[in-house]
Amino acid sequence: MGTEKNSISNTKAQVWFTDFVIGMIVFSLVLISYYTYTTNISKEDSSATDNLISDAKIVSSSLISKGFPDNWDANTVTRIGFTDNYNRIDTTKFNEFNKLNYNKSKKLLGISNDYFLFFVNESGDVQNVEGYCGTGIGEVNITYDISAAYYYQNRDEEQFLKSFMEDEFQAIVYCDGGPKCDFLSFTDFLSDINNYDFIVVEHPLWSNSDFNDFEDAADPWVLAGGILFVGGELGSSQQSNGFGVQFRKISGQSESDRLATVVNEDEFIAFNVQDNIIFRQAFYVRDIGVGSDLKDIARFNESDIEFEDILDNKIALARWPFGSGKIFFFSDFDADYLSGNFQEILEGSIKKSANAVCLPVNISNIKRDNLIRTDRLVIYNSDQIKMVLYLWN
Amino acid sequence: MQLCGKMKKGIFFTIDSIIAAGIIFVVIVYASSFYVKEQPSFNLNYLSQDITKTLSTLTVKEIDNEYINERISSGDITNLDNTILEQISEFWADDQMVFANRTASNVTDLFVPDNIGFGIWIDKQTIYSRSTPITKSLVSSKKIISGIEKSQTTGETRKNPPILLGPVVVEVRIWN
Repeated sequence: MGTEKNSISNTKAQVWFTDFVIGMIVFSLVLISYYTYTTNISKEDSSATDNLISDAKIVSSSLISKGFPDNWDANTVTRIGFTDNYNRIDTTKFNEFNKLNYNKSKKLLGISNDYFLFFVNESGDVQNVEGYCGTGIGEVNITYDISAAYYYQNRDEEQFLKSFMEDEFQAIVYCDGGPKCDFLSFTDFLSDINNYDFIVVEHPLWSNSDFNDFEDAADPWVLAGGILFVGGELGSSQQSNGFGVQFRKISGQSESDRLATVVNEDEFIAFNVQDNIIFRQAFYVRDIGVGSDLKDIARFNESDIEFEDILDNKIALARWPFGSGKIFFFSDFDADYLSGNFQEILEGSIKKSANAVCLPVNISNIKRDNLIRTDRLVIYNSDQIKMVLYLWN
Repeated sequence: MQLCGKMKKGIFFTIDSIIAAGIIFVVIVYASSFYVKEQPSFNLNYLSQDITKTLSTLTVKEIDNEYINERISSGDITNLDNTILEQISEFWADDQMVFANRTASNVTDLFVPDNIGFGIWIDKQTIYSRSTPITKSLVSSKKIISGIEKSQTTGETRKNPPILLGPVVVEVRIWN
């Protein structure tokens, strides 16, 4: 009886020992697998993060330099850098940097990771630098806090700024109310005008009375601080007067009649002096009350060849202050600029002139495993601002 | 009676397993914490360099700062072409430590996060320093500043030269 008892108790002990051994083995295997897996993941992550940090250092240091060659542009650049080497942003170089294709900029910066950069002030608000709220990969949405409108004549011809205004500024579109006009009418445009900060009017070809109605509505709006871009033919009489100038049409419309030359550099409209622009249609402004504040940027060549002779000719491109606001006049928004892309420069000028407030940059839609943020302190127009650079993979 | 004993054994083992699982969980979490690698704070290095560069580039007439504008209006700042660092050094040389301190804090505070330590020293004398304790690292950036002392002009003769300021070493320290 006693022997039987011992036998039972031994068997019980063996069962428990086997259970214990199996349990330990399973536990050890799980523990080893866990650490092997997490260590590998950690090594991969660490390598990717080190790579990102290295890229962040390279890119931020390069951008804060003056670049190479000294006066580089989008065609000659070999090393991107848009400051004077003392952290002051060189606006010419910054604009050239923005002309670069994103993939080309990555190649020049020597990185394989994606990037996006923008500027913030001391309160953390995104700053509009030269018309840009941010630059880098196109997937990051940039939005402006501006109330904008676009007016065009309802024709079959191309509208050069309609898509730009809709995409960039979410502009409300108006047209002349004809059968092809699916947008708000001219009457709505006049009644809504005070709701906007910024308006582009593209070749409206108004009747005399419509031009006068527009002038009556827009005059106090510009005086109060509105920014108006006009291009093409405004009133049908060719002698529409308003905003301190006369808007007129050049009688001839051959290529030589439409050829203009840039006569002054401008901080908003970035054409090079003495370069030629051929407008599709030739309209001009004549000063009747603005005075020396009217800044002529391009003038028609007419029959002149020498640059000095062109300086007195009809004005094809100008801007002037009007009360607290500003007016920009283009002979036409459709033109060929022989030293660059007219449309790009025009759009850049609009972004810069509109002085739109930038809304916060949202990168939440970007697919990424690792993200690095680098902040650099720079000077822009006498203000200290932070350049924020995001890099990710 | 037998059923009661079996139930007790069941309760005993459940508590055992919960305690064991808890211990294993704590051990794994604790061990994993050794695998978390802290990222290097290379931004600190850039911040000290950038502050030194921007303050030695921006002039007092350029910067739009309420405190500096007040000092200009009150006549405490006379040379509007001074850079911010030169102006701080000039205040220091004139023993106007309050002006030096407040100029340094006014132009930098908003750009240095609150959790980061920051200070400016001139020839090892503290002009401005945050009370944030140093826990991890400290980065320093230095610049030599010199100039003409306040109220001195460059039109003096060799026999009666203007009093010069410096050279002094201005040091910007950033820490966390």
